Amino acid sequence: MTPTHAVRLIARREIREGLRNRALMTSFGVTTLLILLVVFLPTFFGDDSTTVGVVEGVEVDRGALTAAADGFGIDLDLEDVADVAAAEQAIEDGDLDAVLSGPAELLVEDQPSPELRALIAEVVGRDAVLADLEALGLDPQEAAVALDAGDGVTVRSLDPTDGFAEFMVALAGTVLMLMGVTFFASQVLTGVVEEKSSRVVEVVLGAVRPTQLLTGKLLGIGALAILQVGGLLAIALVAMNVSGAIELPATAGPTIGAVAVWFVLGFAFYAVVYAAAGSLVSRVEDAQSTAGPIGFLLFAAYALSFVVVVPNPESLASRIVSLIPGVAPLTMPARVAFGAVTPAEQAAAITISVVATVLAVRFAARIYQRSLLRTGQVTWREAVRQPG
Amino acid sequence: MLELRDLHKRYGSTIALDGVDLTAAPGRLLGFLGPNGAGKTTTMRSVFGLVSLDAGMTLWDGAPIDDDVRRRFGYMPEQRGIYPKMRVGEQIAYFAELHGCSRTEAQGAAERWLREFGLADRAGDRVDALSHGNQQRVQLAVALAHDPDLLVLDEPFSGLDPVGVERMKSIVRTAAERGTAVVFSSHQLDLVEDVCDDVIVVRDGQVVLSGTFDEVRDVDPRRRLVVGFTDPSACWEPSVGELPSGAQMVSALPGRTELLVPPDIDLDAVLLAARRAGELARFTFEPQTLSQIFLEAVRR
Repeated sequence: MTPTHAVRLIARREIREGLRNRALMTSFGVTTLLILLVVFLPTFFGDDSTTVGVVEGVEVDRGALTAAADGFGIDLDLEDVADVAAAEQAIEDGDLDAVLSGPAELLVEDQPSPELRALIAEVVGRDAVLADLEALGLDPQEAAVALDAGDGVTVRSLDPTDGFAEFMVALAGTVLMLMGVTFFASQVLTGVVEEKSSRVVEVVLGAVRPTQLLTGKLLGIGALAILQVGGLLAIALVAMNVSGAIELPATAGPTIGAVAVWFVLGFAFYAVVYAAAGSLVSRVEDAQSTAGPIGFLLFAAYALSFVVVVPNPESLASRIVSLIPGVAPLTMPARVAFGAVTPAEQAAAITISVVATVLAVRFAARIYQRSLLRTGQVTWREAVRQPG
Repeated sequence: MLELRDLHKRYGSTIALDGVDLTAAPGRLLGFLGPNGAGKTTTMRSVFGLVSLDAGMTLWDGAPIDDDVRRRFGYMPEQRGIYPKMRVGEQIAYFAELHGCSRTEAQGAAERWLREFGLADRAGDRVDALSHGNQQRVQLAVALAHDPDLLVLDEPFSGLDPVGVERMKSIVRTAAERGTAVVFSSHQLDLVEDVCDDVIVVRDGQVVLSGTFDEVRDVDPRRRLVVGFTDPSACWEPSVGELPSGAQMVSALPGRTELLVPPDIDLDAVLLAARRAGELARFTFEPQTLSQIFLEAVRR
């Protein structure tokens, strides 16, 4: 039997047992429900019509606008606004979603929804640009070609740096990361301790090597983790798409990518260290004593994400914490969500994390191998010192 | 053939193995005996590479045991040694696959052993839903499913009722008949006496006695003499001067006294002494039990 075959058998067992694990399945179900609740609740209670103000003096074909709105799936209400100042006030108060403050100028808090922007472009933007171009002396045909360059809508944001949506994405990414890594890395911990406490590890190691057992375990539980976290992400995205209630900011795509990459790195790093912690004890009750410091590191990283990264994602401190192995998985996705990371920084952080994970795997595998068959509790210090 | 040569292992200041030699041949049942803490489990674990020995060699057919050879071994540790939450049938098949069986062979073996143990209808149950005795059967099925060349069982008879003991004996006998080398440890000597072909006794990490059962018995030339009285309350506790030299009292219970006597004993003298204690119902030689040999060996 080849080592790969052994690893595959072990991973397959982990996946099969994991899919039967009630805690795992319950957490998946509960999280799915929460996601659906967050996504769909606003559509039940919220006013899903869009109220657009029109500043006095701005010439707009209201009939055409209302008629075209249906085609864009917008339930449009138009209201008159006395002047720009009143318009700004109404937007800040949340009474109006947007205001037409010029022929094709859209005043919004941050960004208009893509549907609204398309509607305005269709109905007024095109005419406004055509008029401008004709005034400049272009014939209508040339003007129409030139139009393809843009939609003719000018967006004026009152508070473009609000970043609420980015914050929500960062929050969702970081929380998902913490939950996923904590849950699945501790699955590795309890799995290792249970094998040791039931002595089944002696029978397994009569047939395979400790490194094969460890690898199979990490791959199996890792696959479950990716399945669950990926599944939750997919459910969230599909739900948002269906409900249309939440607009994703432009950083959502990269953030999802970052969560995916950092989840794999974060899981690998923590799972392997948890495995080593598990191999040090013989009883499940004792696991917390050796695993405690690791859990502390994980929560510290989570806290850093909110204390350091969220207030100022581009600060030096943010840059530093997003490079530290073990901390990066929880701080990097948040920085990506704020659009504050350069590709070079990403590459550097990933490289550092990969190197650190490889070192952690070697270190943990050694401890695991040496401690797995010892009974009673072994301290980290003893485990590092004991002869191979 | 399994050969362990001069195994040494020390845990801190405790010497677990101090030069243990052991040989187990295909088709034979080796009883590995000794008091608790004598080094039986450490020796058995060393066969599976679970102990990093300070010195000594573990050989199979004359060559050091490697991964491929070891996969052809089956091991049943003393306690549990199975996944409590896993399904019974899947568990047996899983271990068979880990030991090199194909998926189909493994599933076939699981079904066969579950039928053999009367657990066919429990294949889909979690192991921890089974009774203690049934869990031990699953454990045994795990050790046997890949049809091992060597079967190592740590205290397989402990915790079994008399029916279970007989069943276990017949299983290990069958395995040996198929050509498997079987090693099992026990501290319940009276249970294993009739199932051992060979015996090895350890004490404090050292082998104090080893050989075939008959050889071991012949190590001590003395014979066991049982004296029974018709009056069940008659108690004969002969003093040292009362018995011919070389004879030794083993036990004296109401109605029954046992002696160890040299082959050239003056039986008339013994008979006379016994008669003084009451009317005799029996006066017979009986083979030495393993327990006695063992007790003598570990006492020496």
